[in-house]
Amino acid sequence: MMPANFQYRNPKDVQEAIQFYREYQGEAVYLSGGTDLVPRVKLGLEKPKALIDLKRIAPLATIDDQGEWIRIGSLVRIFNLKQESLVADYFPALKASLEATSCESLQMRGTIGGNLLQNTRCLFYNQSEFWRKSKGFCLKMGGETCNAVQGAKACFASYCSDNATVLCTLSTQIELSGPEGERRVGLDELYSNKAQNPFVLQPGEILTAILIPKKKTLGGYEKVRVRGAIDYPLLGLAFSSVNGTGKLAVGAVGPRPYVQDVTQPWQDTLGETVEALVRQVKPVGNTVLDAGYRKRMIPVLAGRLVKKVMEGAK
Amino acid sequence: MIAEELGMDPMEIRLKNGIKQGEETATRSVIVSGGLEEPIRVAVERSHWSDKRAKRTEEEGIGMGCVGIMCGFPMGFRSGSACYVKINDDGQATLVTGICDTGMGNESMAIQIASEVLGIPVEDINLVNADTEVTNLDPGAYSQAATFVGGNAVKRACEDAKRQILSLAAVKLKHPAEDLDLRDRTIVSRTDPSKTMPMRWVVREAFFQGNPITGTGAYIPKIDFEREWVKNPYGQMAGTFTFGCSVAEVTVDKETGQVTIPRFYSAHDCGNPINTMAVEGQIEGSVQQAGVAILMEETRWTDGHLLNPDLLPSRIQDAAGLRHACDRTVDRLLQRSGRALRSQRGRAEHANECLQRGGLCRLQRFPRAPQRVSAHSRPGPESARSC
Repeated sequence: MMPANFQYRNPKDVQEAIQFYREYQGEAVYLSGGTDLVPRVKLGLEKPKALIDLKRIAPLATIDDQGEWIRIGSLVRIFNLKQESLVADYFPALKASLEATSCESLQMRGTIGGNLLQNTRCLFYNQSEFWRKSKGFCLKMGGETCNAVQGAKACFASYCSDNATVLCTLSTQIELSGPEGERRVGLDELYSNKAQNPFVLQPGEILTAILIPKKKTLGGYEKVRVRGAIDYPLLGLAFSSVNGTGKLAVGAVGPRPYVQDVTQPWQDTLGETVEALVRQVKPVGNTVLDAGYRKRMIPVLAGRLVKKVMEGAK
Repeated sequence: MIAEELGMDPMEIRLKNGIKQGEETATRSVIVSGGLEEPIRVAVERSHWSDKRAKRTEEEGIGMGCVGIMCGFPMGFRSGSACYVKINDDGQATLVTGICDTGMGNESMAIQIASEVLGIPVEDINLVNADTEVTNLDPGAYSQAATFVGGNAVKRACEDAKRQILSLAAVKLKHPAEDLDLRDRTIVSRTDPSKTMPMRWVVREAFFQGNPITGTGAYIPKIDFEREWVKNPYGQMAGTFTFGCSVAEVTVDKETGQVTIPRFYSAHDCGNPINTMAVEGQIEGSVQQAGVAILMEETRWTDGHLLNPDLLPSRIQDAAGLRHACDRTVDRLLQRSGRALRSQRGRAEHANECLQRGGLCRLQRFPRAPQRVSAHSRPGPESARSC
């Protein structure tokens, strides 16, 4: 599939990138690793006038230990990040999710920032333009109703970042730079809770860094996928714990990761926490595994994950 | 499933009923060589079938599948293959054959055969193939026929050229042709080391005598051309048949329905393997395509639209994934029976069948996706037991 024509710009710093964005009056998209964006452009899901390639902005690809925070530049490659000893020592859940992200060759290409800002996915949406035209455009493409749940006036595409699910259990914050200046917000504020347009970003804003509190955690990540070597998550469960309390998050079953506090992970009282998570998720039949199965696996994997992490801590 | 109903070991029911050399199929094709028994015995021995079957549990099973596939199938005048070989004045050879190669190594197979018959290294052989401007018709990559039919035609053409070379060499060396052979670009005597001569001398001599060395050969499998599907469905339908047996160790996570294949064994009687590495690759490819794809491959439809029309949502196992699905490396068994040249191709069906037998035989639908296995194993513990 050939993408529509676009211009290619490669700014030397963040300010120049934002300047380019202004030049195209909003009809440009930022490119990092491209493992999500390039297939979208090829499928005609994005038709930007320009791709603004951030890869030459070296400061975005650094990892800093700031004492209280670990600051990870958004352009750090997933493959490089998973090999950082800081990650393994402090955030074992993140190490596990980085390891579980796609396959190694794509990990070498994909960046942590791009992984967080990947668009939501749906079997009825991530298709060629020819396919989508023949089926009729859904809500996410500007149509009237959802195609996965016929007649629905809401979008049920799933946000499939393995690492976002984990980062939500680590009280992560993010840094954004845009035409209106810089800001720092909690990762949970990034999400609009609407699969159609999953992120709350100002026009032209760039995700520049991910900040994680530098505290030693216990944790892990469990993922359901058909092919162990490559696939997106069809369900992801993340758990991180500090000083006896923790957070459990579920991903790939809605437009954002859902998080619940786990107050006593040492005890077998996960039931209510998991029930609260299950109540929030909305899996539908828009992946290669049935919605019912994915929902049924939440308590199974959550139980296994927390047990494994807490037993490993003994 | 039949073995389970009868309370028999699946190996026993196959050994009792598997077709043997000399027997006829239901449609009166004679099994001229091979048979199911040997592959079953090799697979059983190498997989420690009986021990593992005795120890099977609800989560760990072992299963078996077999395949018999025809080789050299009637395709009218395209059933056979012809080859021409021209021996050049520098002692190199040019092969002209209809054998085509779509990645399985048929070109190197043809060259290997010519190299062995003519006693010249593979780098001295030029190949002109699969070009109807210069080559005769050939079965093509169909009916497992490339090695069996095309390879035998190459062998015969090279033997024809060899006969011409040795008969002229016999005159020059004053030595009986029956005692001469071709080795390392040289004519040698089997009994007298002093009787030797470079092959190119003889080739040039033949040219001077007005009889340049060119060999021709053809092979048509012995099939019954009167046979057809409706009015006369009896008779020899293939030149030969090839047989294989696979054994899969299967583990089932009953809660998640995830199925893994810790170890897979495949014993395939392919006749005389010309290129061992290519044969192993064929067998491994079959395990990957059918044995593993059976766990995930399917087409999903919605109102006439295919939901997984490309290789991302269409779950075809990749090479790296084979290690995830099969925890350890595929253990391949290659039986070398040294009979006629026969198909090099491993076949997917036996791997397919095997998984069906291993662990999950009561499931009626493919693929054995975790959602189905999980749903199936919820009501009771029996379903994961192998049969």
